[in-house]
Amino acid sequence: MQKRVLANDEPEKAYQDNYHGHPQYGIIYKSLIFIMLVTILPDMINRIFGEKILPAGTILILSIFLLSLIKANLVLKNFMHVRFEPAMLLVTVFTGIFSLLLLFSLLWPDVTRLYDPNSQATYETQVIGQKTYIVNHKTGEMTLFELQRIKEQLGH
Amino acid sequence: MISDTKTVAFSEVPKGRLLIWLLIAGEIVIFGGAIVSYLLARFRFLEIYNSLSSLTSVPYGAFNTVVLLTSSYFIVMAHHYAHQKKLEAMQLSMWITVILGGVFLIVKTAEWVPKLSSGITMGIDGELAVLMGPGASFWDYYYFLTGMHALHVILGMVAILLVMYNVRDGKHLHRVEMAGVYWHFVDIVWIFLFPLFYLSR
Repeated sequence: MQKRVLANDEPEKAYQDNYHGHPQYGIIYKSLIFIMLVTILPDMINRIFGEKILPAGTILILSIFLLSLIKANLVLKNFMHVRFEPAMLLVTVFTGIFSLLLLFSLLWPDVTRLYDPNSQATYETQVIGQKTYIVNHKTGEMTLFELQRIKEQLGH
Repeated sequence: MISDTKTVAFSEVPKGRLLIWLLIAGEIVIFGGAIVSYLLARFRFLEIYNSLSSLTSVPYGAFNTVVLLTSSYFIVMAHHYAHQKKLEAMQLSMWITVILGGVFLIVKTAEWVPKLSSGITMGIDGELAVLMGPGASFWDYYYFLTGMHALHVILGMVAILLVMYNVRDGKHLHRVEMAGVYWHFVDIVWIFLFPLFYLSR
């Protein structure tokens, strides 16, 4: 019976022993490019036919993020070979995600001003009609936000 | 589709590969924290952030996405060739990966320079700050996240070059996969940054 080569004893030999498979990388790559093109399709349509042919609503943006998740999953499982790794390896990665969630759960009361609902942020935006106003609660000022003026300032 | 598939026990995962995954776990905390912070700010000033997002360039971002995806393909092919002991093909694939990383950085620079010279910087002041209001923080996040990502691209390129030097005699070929895993992570981060800054408008 052939002695199994443990990867930590002889990593080079174990590597050559083909201890995980190889997906069809070319097909995965073409799928990634196709999904990327689908992601930018709404923007391309708006550019070709004029703005707001496809208004950027919540559903469209969520769809774009869903496509990003699919791309990330394809890269993770096939290029990073996660599908061949033991589940315990993913546990080590999830310690990072767990740490992040722990950090945010500790900071969430400060971010949302949970303990002092009477406190008010300095700035707030208000949409009145089609226009967006920036409200400064300290000075009481209300400034109209105009993207066109910003573009003029930048020389666009 | 998959040849000779065998999974291994956790105790058999090489130390180097385990270490790379632990490194990625740490990077998830860094990038994840910054991205969630950005999302919180974005939802707070949604209309302003959506408007300012239109000042980023989708063609540049899309081109960079294609460049990084292609570089990911080549680094995984380098690993495939390393397995087959095709050293020349492996070296060529790794060189292409590094060159594509350079292309990414050049395009990123071409994107940043006009913005920086027109006054869109981290910590905008003056007339632009008044016009953008609290939305000026969009650019703080933009430069921080894309800049940090660009630093990781540079680190990845250095790692790949070091591994290329290491494996030139056909030894330590398992390191090609390890460098590739790190590079794919950098690619995944961009997969999320691109829609966050360029497409959510």
